[in-house]
Amino acid sequence: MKEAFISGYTDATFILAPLAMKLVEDGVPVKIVYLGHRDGTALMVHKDSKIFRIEDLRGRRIAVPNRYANQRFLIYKVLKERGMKLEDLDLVEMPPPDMPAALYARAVDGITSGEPFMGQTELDGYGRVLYYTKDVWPEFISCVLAVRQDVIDKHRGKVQDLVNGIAKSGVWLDQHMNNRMQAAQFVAKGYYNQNPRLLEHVLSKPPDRVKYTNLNVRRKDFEEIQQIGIESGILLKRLDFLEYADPSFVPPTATIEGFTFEDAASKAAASEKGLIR
Amino acid sequence: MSLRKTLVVGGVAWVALISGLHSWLNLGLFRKTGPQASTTLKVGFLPVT
Repeated sequence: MKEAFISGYTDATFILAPLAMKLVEDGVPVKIVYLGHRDGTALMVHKDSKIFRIEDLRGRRIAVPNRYANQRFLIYKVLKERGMKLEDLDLVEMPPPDMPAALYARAVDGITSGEPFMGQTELDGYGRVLYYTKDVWPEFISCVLAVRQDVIDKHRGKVQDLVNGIAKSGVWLDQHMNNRMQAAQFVAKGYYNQNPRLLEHVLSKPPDRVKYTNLNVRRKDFEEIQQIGIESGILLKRLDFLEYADPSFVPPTATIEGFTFEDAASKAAASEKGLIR
Repeated sequence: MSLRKTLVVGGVAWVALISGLHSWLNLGLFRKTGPQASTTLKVGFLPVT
């Protein structure tokens, strides 16, 4: 996906925040214009494991999506707060879709990535949550919308429409659980190719497991990510916020109204399961 | 046509064909990319939150 983005095959992409910052560090002209979501990550251990606290991760093998994933930054942060280091763990890089099977087979002691793969281990009966991001790094940022600078320059209106669409969808999703249950039906089939039950689970248990509002790009959040990136040796240079971010599409003071949307088929499917009240 | 001429013409045609296909399929030389290629933006995503 990174190569498709750099080569110009895609105009914009949802990408891990530190990876987008690393691209800018490497001289690729892209800007982070909006967030994909907040929170939405967990660290899962096997339900029978003896890991009950973050300190119990010492010496354990934990899978992260890759070195530029904010999930790795999150582990660095929680370890540091407890006087531990990344070297105290055996971190391995693994594509998130492979993580549930690796945990089930006990090839690793813990897995951490964005949903819905963490929730899948709960639904299948062998995963237990060690932490949700909302509990250890509230308002956690994982995926961001990055856009090539030439696209912003030539087609600012289209980028604005895209950002507005994401913002309004997010407000709609967070307005009512009924909307989330409706979205679980069509997103599972049309975009994720997953069982809707899995998305119903991660969008509702607990309701603040992942959030889709408050997605504007804030300097404070990214400077914190950059600081951890530099401390942990992943990012090499301290860039100015405006070198890798363009917060002008949704300023902090903007008021966003949600879409008025209803998909009859999805609503009917969710109603049949008793998910819509 | 002599054998020599046939081989030369065939060789040149083969190189031209392969180069053209490589440029088209691998290098995207004749393919429009970016926002000019369509009226919509092409957005990449992974099926993860």
